[in-house]
Amino acid sequence: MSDDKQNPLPPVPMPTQVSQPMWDAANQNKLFLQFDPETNKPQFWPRPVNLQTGKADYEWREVSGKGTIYAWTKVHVPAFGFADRVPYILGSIDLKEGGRVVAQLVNVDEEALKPGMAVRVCWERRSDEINVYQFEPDV
Amino acid sequence: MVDNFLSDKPVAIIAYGEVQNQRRSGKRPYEFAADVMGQLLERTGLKNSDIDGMATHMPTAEAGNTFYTNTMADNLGLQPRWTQLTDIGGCSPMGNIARAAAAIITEQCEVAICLASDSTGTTGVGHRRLGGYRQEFMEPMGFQGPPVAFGLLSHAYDQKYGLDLNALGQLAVTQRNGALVNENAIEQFRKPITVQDYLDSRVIAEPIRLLDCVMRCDGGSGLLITSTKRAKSMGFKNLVYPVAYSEITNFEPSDPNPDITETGFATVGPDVFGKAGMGPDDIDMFHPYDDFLIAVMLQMEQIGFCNRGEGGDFILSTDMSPNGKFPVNTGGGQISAGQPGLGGGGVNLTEAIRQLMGEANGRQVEKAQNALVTGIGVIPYFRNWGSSNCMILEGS
Repeated sequence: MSDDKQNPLPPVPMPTQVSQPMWDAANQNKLFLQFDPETNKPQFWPRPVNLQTGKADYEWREVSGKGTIYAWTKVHVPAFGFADRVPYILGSIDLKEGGRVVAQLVNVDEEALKPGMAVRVCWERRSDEINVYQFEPDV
Repeated sequence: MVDNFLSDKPVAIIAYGEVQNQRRSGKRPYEFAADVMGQLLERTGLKNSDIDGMATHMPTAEAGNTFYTNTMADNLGLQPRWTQLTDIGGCSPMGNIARAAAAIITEQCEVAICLASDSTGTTGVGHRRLGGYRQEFMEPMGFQGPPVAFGLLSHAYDQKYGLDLNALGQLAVTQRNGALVNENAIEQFRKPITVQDYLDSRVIAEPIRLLDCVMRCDGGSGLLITSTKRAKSMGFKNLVYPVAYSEITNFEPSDPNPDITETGFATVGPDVFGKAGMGPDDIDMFHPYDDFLIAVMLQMEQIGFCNRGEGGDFILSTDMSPNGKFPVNTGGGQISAGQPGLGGGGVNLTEAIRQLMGEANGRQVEKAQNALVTGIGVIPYFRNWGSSNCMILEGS
């Protein structure tokens, strides 16, 4: 017997005019961040201003997608759309070029998880228009 | 000496009101505000027409009402000459005292009502639109809610200092004991718990357990504030004075890789002490905003009651009951009395005022002359919380 009742799917991010370049890059499996050209400090999530100056003088740069784990939490009560994935692990990732991104950690052996562990970005096709970033061990 | 517009006690709280927190009342914030105002008028003998200032906060239940101030005034029959709508989460109720004080001192109004009421237990949070980063960069990645943010924060703290779950459990028990004698605590929480109950409670986002978290509910609180001169001329004797205040919003926006165990309390804690000319040892009671137990511990460390990383030891070695050396959230805090939505900051605040007026039946802190009260607002993008505020209150 098949069960017709399906859990809702995870939400699809809705780009704004500010964030569109990041999502366009994501569709080519590339991770783009805004940077302050002076200090080379990145910022995530995309803002309408450069946080270092308060002006719109940021620039988009591609980053390697490599980083290390700053912290993680194993989620037992799922977010909307994540019931089929529970329990899942959310990782707070310090990117190699600076900046911090929180995303699902996948393909990971839970026992091997360590703070500072090397990870790299990978992509989940969430819809026809959107790739969502995830991270996996960089082995 | 730090400039402090409250140092000469120019304003005084003359009355407080609070309704019992309820799980799902079916009521709206206006009904709770009406109940609270009724208590304030009853206590003071004033009429609603004597109130010429009104401060509110944006309640979750009315998210989307872009005329909340007008709607509230019309529900209550008020005709204020000064209004204020504050939306910095759990910092709002106390932030409104500082804002009302400034309005009274600058003669924009004489008697202000500060209201905190919400019915998030009834409406839930699904209808609100937070915009920006939450819906684009958090929820689609699996952000389930505040327990996830506090799970990451707890993990970061554990790596840096070591997290003692027994200490958090001890804090849970101490606060629950307060709720047992607080008739405004939510009914479901008026039964004792043990440290083992805390440790055994369901894990939401590791290491955050169910008994680490507040439960959203319905309820409300409020107060009347006026100039000290006017309060005395009207014959009010049981006064509570705000004597120092400090607030910060959007802590550390430009650091791309912040230490998320650090909070705005590292700024506003020392600042409020400087303004009051006091130190941690001078504080008789601590009423910290408690959305999660670890938030209480972090505040103890960063405001300066103990050193960073020593919060667990401090909790385990200190009697934090009303009879103890360092009473904390004597009415149960929000974790054991309930969080009436974005009016939740009023729970800790009202308890402090009640104590300083000597009316905390069954849990009165003897000889308490002052209290430090705090607020916390907003989960930003996986940094620490966004807003922090501290106020020192003194009794008369």
